[in-house]
Amino acid sequence: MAYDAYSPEWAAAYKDEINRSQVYKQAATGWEGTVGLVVLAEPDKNMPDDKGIFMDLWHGEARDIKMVTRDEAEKADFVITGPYSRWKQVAKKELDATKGIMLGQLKLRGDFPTLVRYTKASQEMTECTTRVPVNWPDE
Amino acid sequence: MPDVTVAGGDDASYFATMVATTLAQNVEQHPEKFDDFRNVDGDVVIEITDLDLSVTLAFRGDHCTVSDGAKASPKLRITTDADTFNGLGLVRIGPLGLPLYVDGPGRAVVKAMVTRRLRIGGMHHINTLNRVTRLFSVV
Repeated sequence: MAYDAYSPEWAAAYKDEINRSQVYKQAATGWEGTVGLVVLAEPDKNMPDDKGIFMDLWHGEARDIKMVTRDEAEKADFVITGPYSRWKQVAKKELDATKGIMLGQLKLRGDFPTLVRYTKASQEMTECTTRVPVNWPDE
Repeated sequence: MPDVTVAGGDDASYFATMVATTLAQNVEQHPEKFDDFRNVDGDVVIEITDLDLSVTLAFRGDHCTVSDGAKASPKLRITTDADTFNGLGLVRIGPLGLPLYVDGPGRAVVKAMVTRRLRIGGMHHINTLNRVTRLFSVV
């Protein structure tokens, strides 16, 4: 079953996928903090409004992942922001999120040393997004 | 505390900002690294081959300026791919302040050097190499 991109159902499926991942569980042991993902609108791709995803992650577990406003997502401890088409590339494995950040295609705000420490966990989080089937609004 | 600036302001690459932020935050969180910061006293070039990115870190006492591009004749030149670069931050520092190359992250770095995925120019500046390793180690 495919979920509409960035819908509450997609967020719930993403949470389940993270919690199923033993790789994430191990790599994120010790992680404490919230992560906000901001998806910037691209009206020409049927994404008319900015979206926010708020992730409450705690010691290898996704306690909550929910769709929120952009402003709410930006209140997280770590925030990654990018246009819709970039996030779609990440979800389709066409763009490595870490490399996207290094290239400035995705912008990161937060404590960089902590994120370097948890690079493997963030890569697995990205892997989890690729395992959630999505109905993209521009397809 | 150290003063890390990015040359070029808004025109600087995101990678330059990322390197500068990681360095500044890591030293701020670990003031014992400040001696290393002060004593690098020279240019360090980082080149990310697969993303075609390069920056020069010009260490001058309490200041470091990070600028895009590779300056000629640096004290140290680190040439590698994005994945290996991210792994460098995971090298642990052992007794006497020496980088540990016997655990998982350390062995990965040695392997990258043997396979030429990681090339270090200026290895004879071994103290500088160890200082830079400590400055960017986040574990």
